[in-house]
Amino acid sequence: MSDIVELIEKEIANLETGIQESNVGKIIQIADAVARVSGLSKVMYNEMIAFPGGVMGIALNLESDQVGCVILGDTSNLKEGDEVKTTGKLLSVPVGKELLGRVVDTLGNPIDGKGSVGATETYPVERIAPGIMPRKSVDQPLQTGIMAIDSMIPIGRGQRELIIGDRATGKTTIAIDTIINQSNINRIGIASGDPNFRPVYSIYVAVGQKNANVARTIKVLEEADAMEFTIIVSAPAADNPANQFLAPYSGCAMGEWFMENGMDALIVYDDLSKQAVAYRQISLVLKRPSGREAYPGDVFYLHSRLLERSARVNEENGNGSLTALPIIETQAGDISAYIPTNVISITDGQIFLETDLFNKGIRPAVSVGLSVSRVGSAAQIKATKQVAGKVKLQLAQYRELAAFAQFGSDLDAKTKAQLDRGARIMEIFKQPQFNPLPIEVQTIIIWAVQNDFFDSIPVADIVNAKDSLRNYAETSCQDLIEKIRQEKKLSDSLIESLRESVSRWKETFNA
Amino acid sequence: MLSIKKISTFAQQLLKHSLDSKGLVSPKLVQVTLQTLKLKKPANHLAILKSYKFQVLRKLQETTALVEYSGCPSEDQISAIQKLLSKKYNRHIQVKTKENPSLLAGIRVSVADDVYESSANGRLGILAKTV
Repeated sequence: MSDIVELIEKEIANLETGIQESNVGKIIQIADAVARVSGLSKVMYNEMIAFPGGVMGIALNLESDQVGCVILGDTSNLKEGDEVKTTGKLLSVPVGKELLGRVVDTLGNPIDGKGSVGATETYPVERIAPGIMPRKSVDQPLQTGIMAIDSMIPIGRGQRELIIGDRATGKTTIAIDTIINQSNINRIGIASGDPNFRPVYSIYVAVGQKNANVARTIKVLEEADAMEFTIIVSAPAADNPANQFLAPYSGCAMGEWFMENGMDALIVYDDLSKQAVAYRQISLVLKRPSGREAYPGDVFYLHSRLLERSARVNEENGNGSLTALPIIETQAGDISAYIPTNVISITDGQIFLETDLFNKGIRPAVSVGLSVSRVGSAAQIKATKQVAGKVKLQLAQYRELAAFAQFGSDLDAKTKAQLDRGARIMEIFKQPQFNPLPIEVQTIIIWAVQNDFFDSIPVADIVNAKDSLRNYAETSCQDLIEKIRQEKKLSDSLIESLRESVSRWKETFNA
Repeated sequence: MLSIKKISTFAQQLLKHSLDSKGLVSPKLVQVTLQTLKLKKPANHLAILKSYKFQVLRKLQETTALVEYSGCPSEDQISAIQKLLSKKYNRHIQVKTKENPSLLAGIRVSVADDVYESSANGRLGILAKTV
């Protein structure tokens, strides 16, 4: 009791006795988490507005006689005539390592029941992307642990690689696998004590997802011990559209903190189509002019200003990076729709997932022809380049030949060999979900395929053979894995020991 | 059919004709403006009248300070407030007073959207937020 009185007395003593100046307005209309407010003559664009009951909003439409605000909280107690105030502040979220392992909402408030976040620093949600001079080209790999991606569509630190595909084709799975792989790499790197090791921290932004899906993602990450290096920002489908529109920017601000403090971060926006829909909803309620597919005219800027904030900065600016994996859901495989084409043009490449491949059991259902990484082999370690350099071409030739081979049975030996190799590579790239492969093991497997060790194995047994080789490599070839990890390239001596090890495995597998 | 922007610009011009030499809204000039509009009805008459009303109201709010008090301020205090506000806004400000017992003590001055609060109620509100 005395503590409370003491607290109040302290607050009274600290209270400013001067005049409180404020710029106020009145709610004239409120609907769908958007309020129209009269007054607020001094309001700034994107300024936070204080509504009654501690609810905050953001001024988005500044008109001559009224201001359009999106509301970021519970609107059920707000009514016409309520007084609102400007705050003179931009919307900010807590940032820092304290957020790792936590699940927060758009405003950075914890929603995992683990108490306060305890972050001391905040960053504004909307920030200007790094300019040209602080940037550096992408040349460090960010391994996803997915063989088809790491070998053919490599992603680098600071890159923006779009994951695009229809519903239920494994888009989120690729993102989650990548996060799990980062945590696996982080754990090995930290344990090695290498002073040059740079861990990658992950941020997963769930926009417009079902709460059950978000809960499942959290469970998967917890089971894989990946939450230690991960922040989850959740604006589920039940959240108001303002929160869904702002969540990617909040997550980006959290990622930028790592980048600006010389660290590497990965951010997954799952997904930006739903963010665009939320923004369209807000814009329509704000009576902004609508354009194609009823999206507002600035929907390109909505995504470009977000994705431009992902970058690799140079040494003078801390040498950090923020890699973005935005996700876009297509309708019936149409990648030429409005939002997909916008985001494809902004990003540095895309991983296209096909429903047909998924249904055929080729998972991850990566369409090799339509997927591309504009950073290319600059984001691969030399060992991967050595073994996987020709894989994309081999697969392209395989697909072409396979189409022709359907019409005739007489094939020359070379064509038959190409078809056999292609079919085996397709099988090799099949990988179960939440089971990322270390890049060293991927190198061993692809090297074995390219050096004819899988040629005598029937196509139906390739997946088993691959699993067997993986187990063999992880249990009996630790030295070899360690050497590849350290040297990052396949020297002659390393190739020799690789040949010996894989030959030994082949003997055991055949037996 | 005039656009919203043109209607607003026209209403602003009407407002200019309704201000006296001090820059205050003159009831006499407003009456003249309304009569002229009645005689020569422009296109979008109703929309122009609505916009004109909005502009006049805003001008009135901008040139009028509402002083709410709990415990009546003296004539000198009112005069001092008027001088201070006229200087701050660089225009002539009229002062209107109104008793507001909910302030408990002190005053609250509103000029259009700007509110200057120096009342016990306002400070209690801040205290409630911080505790």
